[in-house]
Order: sequence, then C-alpha cells, then structure tokens
Amino acid sequence: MANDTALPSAGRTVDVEITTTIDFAGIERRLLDAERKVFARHERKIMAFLRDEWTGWAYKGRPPGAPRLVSHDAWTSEISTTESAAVLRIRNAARGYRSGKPYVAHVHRAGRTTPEHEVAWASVLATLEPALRADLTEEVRKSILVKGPRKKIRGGRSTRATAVRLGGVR
Amino acid sequence: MAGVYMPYHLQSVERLVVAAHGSPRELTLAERNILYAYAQAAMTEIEEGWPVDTSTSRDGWSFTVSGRAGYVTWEFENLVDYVEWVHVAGDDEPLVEGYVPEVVDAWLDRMRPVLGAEILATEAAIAASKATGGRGLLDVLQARLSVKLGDLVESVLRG
Repeated sequence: MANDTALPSAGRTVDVEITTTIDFAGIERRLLDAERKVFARHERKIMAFLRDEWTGWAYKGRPPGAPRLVSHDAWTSEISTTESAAVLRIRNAARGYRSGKPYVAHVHRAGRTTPEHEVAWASVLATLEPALRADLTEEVRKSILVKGPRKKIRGGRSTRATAVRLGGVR
Repeated sequence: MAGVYMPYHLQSVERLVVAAHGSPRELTLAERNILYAYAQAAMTEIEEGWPVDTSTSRDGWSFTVSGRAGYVTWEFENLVDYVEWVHVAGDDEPLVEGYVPEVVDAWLDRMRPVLGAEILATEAAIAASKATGGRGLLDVLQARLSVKLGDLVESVLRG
C-alpha cells in the first residue's frame, strides 16, 4: 500500500505543471474545430487517467476525519491551439490541508523516491500520448486534403514536466 | 483579476450527504468521479458553444472539483482578460452572464439524481462494512472503482 509523504526537503514548496506540445510546423494556423475536438477528447482521456492513477494512498498518520484525495481533486488542464502548435497544459496546485502550502511535486509512493507525477506522466507518454499525436496528425492531414494543396506535416512533439515554485506560471 | 472565476458551492449535494449519512462526510472516489464527469460535460458544452475568432478565450476555460466534507464544489475559471465581454453576434449579453450559467445549471440538474443514487449506494456500503466489523467510510473511501473515469466521462457526454 502506498502513501503520500511529508515534504522530503523542508522549505521546498512546489506545484506541478506538465506541458506537452504537438508541433505542426508548416501548418501555421490554429486548429480547426474538428481537430480541436480530437485534441479535447484525448485531453479528457489523459486527465481521467491521471485522476484514476492518483488513488490508493494510505494516508499514514492522517486522522480519520482529516481530508483525503485533496491533490486528486486538484488536477486541472487547459488546451491552447496557437499557430503551428497545439499545447496541453496540466497543473496540480493542491494545498496541504494543514499547512496551506503546495506539496504535490514531492508526493511519492511508499518505498519509492521518484515523484508520483513523473511516474504517472511517464505512463501517459507510453500509453496515451502517441495516440493523441497520431489522431491529431491524421485529422490535420484530412483537413488539408479537403481544404487545399498538400503540405508536408511534421508531427513533432515536445513535452516537459516541471515543478513550479509559487508565483510561477498562472 | 482579469477573467472570470465561477465557484459553485453545491450545497444541494451536501444536504443529500447529510440526509443520508447523518453528518457531512468526504465524497468517495465514485462520487467524486460523477462530480468530475458532469463538470467536464458542462465545460465541453461551454467550449463547443463558444464563438471563435482567435480561439484564445474558448481555450482559456478550465475547471476543478472538490469532494471534501462541507466543501463540495465545481469551480470554472477563464483568465483571459476580456472573457467577461465575449458575446455572440446580434446579442449583447455576455456569455458568462447568460449562456455559461445556463449550461452549468442544466448539467447540475442532470447530475443530482445520479449523484444522489451513488450517495445512497455509498451509505449502503458503509453499513455493510460496519456490519462485518469493517471501518465503514474509511473502507469505502479506499475501495477500488468498478468504472474508469474516462468511460464515465464518455458515457455522460454521450447522454
């Protein structure tokens, strides 16, 4: 059984922000509605996966009446569809029920040292993100075939998961 | 602060919990997932009905839910600085004052009976746990889910 732990290093208080970018160099327009729907469908799947993964905590030492699933409830996401790129930004800014401070970047399973958000995001990259990239690339390809001359699509991507200090991205 | 922040304190849900449980309690994972799935459905409808020019204000929507005892909430947020003035052509009413609350209210009405039934199922599970010497709510809070959240969201969105 796993548990969420105290901050491993006192004074380090951090949120989690994960950004993944699907880059379509050469398209230079925002996503069309049909393409955005594909992106939003995968966003929902990824968020549901993260929330389903973010369970099973033992809450060692936490009194029976104290809040549980605080960080589980705090996952939020936004997509943005700028020219030439589609960006999925996922964030968790949970605050400790006693301290009122952020802590999610330090949460890990009992017996492990790797932060759980890194473990969960690695699972997303292995299982869900390739399908997002493939489906979105295919949708963009379809719209190009319908609406204009063929262009070469570079379906590149970048992704990063960071621990954001207070006062950071917002 | 620019943009809009729309918190919904779901006191009707809290009253359902108190009526069934006798006092406030945390929502279980299954109950929280219902809360989340219907909030997701509301936000999807808001986005799909949003007028698009550059898509910046439509893409600015996000939400969180809370299932804590005495703090059951939906919170919708859009921090794009002109979002409070966005309206459809031919109608000057800002969407955040008419369309958005109407969509949220409609999904709240759809959610209540579903969540109410789940709350009653939870209470039955708590009673069954206690009857067999278990820890009641603590056991139910840690129970595994029979339905994945992704499947639930898709099912709610399909109606």
